[in-house]
Amino acid sequence: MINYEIDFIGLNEESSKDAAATCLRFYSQELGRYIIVVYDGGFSTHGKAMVELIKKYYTNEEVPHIDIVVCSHSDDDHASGLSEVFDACSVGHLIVNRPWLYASELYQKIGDRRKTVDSLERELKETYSSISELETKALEQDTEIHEGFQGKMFSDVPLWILSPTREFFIQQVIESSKTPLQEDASISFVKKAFEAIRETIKDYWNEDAIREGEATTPENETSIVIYGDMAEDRSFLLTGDAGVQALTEAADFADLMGISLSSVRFHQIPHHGGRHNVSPSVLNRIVGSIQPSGTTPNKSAFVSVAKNSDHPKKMVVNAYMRRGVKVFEARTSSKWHHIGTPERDDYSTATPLEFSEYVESWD
Amino acid sequence: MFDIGTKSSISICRHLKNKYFGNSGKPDMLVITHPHIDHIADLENMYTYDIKPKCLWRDKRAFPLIILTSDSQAQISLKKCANRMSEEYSSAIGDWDDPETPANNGGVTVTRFTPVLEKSDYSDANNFSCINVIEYGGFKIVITGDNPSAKLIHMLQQSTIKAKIADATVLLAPHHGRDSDFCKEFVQTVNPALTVFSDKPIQHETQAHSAQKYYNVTRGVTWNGSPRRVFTTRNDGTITFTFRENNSWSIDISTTEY
Repeated sequence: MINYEIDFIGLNEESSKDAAATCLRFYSQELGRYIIVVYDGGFSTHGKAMVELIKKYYTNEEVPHIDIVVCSHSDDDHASGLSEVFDACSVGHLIVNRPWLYASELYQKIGDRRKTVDSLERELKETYSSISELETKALEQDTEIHEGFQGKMFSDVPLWILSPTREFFIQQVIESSKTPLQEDASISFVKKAFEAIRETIKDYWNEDAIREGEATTPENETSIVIYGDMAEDRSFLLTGDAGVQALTEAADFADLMGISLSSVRFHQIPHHGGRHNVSPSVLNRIVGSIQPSGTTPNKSAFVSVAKNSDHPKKMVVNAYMRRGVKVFEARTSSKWHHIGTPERDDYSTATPLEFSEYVESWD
Repeated sequence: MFDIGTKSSISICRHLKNKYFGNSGKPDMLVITHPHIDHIADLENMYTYDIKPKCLWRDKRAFPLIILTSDSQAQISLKKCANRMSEEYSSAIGDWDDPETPANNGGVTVTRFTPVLEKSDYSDANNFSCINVIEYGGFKIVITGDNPSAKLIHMLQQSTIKAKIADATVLLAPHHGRDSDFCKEFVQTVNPALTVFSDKPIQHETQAHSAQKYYNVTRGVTWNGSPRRVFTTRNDGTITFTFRENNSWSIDISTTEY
């Protein structure tokens, strides 16, 4: 049994751009101290707020030492705030996947002969500038940088990376419209036009309104999915912006390793509660099956959204709720989940979201 | 090379450089059975003495190593070196360059067995330990890491392993011969002519009990007119086995450090 606490940063600032910034610490019996982990930093305002929170509740150090920083994927709303963490803290390890490390492999697979491996590498660094900047900052302070691929993150730390595998990551990079590859060779992903939601439909407890066959961007699918093995029904799952493919990879690996995802008690709802990232079948695998109406929920989930955002989608919140999960949003204030760590005088009990009888229509 | 620990302040790399590699030579391969400090302690000196191996084998599942603020400067520096090395040796070894292919190395066959790991095994690096079998002519050397007994029993269930390790000339005992990890089934299968403990200058209490256990399941040889079954680096010093084409072999020991 491991004591831990986890914070999702929410900001009271006028914005409709969702972002995710999460920090956590868990107690290591062997070391007799807490290990501090940051998982995504949101935009820079989120990063700043997270550093303040860490200073207030995690450590007395003037320059906090963060043992592990994880950048789930390259999107700015997750990666850019991590720069603030590097500016204000010392960082032991940075876990991030950098596409340019695989430039020669990418070049061989879909080589555009007008480029060279070197020029592709340069272009990748420019395209994925937010993580390229992180790399620079990490190198400046001698932080160890590692790939974040499926497996145990460190043998003696209870964190597992469930997705991506190296192969899956490279495939997503090839498919990403961000990647400067020969156009006819890459499967370019066309982002769905933003649908204005005009209508609502009735949602019944026993039947999901989310559906199979939805897809998110390849960049989102590269998200590093983390399982925190806190033992005895305390485990957590952090999903970044992972979509159905990445979550399926995660569930497959969990099965292989004998990790029971249905006993995970704390979830991050992926992609700010977007409805293109989850399906009924994948939620059955990573959260559990639909519970009879009236069952007392025994799990919690947090979702990070901006003050003026139309996320999380009601149908996604309902999908988690009918699987026995209480859902809380980190919107205009940060949310805290803790087991066995010291109380905070200035915190009060949060109110979970309610089940919506009517949800967004798909048409 | 199998593991690169060091038993004193004198660098094993310096010794290797002087004895084997001269101006430009380098070891063809380093195998790290598992990345515990006592098996990689002299790693940084491979850089210092310019004897970085041409190839590296390590269990990728055991990397990277976490560095904590509670680590000593020496530990931090060593772990960083191990992590850098693990990341550096990422391209596949071609058939023509593989030092473990008999055609490339004068007829030595090297076979390696890695354990199947369960979730809980990941928390102790000893569980990653591989088993290496080196064959030349009629000789067979079995080199282990710090394999716990339970993992050895588990590995014996792999179909090919029993025949491969059977009736060895020399066994390097798992976990420096610690009593707690003595695995009778494993040692009986290996059925070694000789067992070697690579142990510390100070005797670990549990090694005294296990020496007798290994003695009981080791065939033994006559050496310098006396019967011997177990050699230990603590008592015998550096132990050198020489295996020759004409199927003869000899054992030399030296208590002068390098």
